[in-house]
Amino acid sequence: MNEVQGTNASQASQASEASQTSRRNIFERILVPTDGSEASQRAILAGADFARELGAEIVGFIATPEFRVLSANPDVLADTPEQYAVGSSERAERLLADIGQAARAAGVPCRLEHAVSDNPHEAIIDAAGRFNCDLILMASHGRHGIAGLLLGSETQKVLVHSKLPVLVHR
Amino acid sequence: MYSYKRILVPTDGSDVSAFAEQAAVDFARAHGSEIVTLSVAKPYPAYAAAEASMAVDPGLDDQALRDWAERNVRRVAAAAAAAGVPCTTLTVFSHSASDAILDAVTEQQCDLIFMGSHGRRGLSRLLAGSETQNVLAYAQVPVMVMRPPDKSGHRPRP
Repeated sequence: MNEVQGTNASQASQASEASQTSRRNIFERILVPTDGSEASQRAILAGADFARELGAEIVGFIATPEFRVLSANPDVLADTPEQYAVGSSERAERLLADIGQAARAAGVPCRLEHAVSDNPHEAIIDAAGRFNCDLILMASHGRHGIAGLLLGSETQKVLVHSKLPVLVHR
Repeated sequence: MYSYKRILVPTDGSDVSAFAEQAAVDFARAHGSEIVTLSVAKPYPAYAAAEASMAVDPGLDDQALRDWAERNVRRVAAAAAAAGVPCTTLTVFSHSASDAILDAVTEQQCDLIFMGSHGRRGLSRLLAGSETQNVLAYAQVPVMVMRPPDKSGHRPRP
């Protein structure tokens, strides 16, 4: 009975296994990017809840901008690339720690990752692939919320370019 | 905190919609959630100026739209039934799909929305341009945006 020949039977059994698996865990690893904004903070808390609910784990992620000698971004103003690297790592660690804390509070396994990139949306999509995530969970808008722009530009870009599902939190 | 027990699944009958519908059904089955599916029939532009009269004098075009919306929600209901997931179907006439979706979230007390996306071409044609933005920006509940695999390639199931 178990030795039914033919690809149909084996495909069927694979399909049934797959559906058993998906029944347990639709999403197993969720990328939760932050930019330190209030909206991200809310998304982080919701993400930790969601991960617990699903039995998933979290990859907390932040992309910090590359060093520039001249910049309008106060986070980037520093004397030397070395100082800047230290400063931005510290900032990244601080913001990632919030994700770690939310995950711990929810009892959800979590790892934290930092990348340097001037294109947060690319860094986010890239990280989701690199860490084998199957979902990206992010806020609908971030730090550069401009009145009149309903949807944050990075979120918009992730939605356009990501092949993974994106769970958008307001 | 959200419990994700009542999921709104807007549908326009498209393939992109179908992908999100199936994902929503899988999710609902795994988490013991219910589905509320909604299809928004947009009156034809000619009717836009005569919105008031439309309500009392539905013509043949209205009937065709209603049938279309009914077919869309029945497809979701069938998928839900096959998975043993409770499903409520709704069809509404509205000039704004996003308003109809946001209203349904409130009225039906949904705590999650599942929608399909074309990626570069935007969300399913149900939600063109600003309407997509409206749902994502104003929904009081999280929105799951699902992207069907490219026709050319494969990608692991979500």
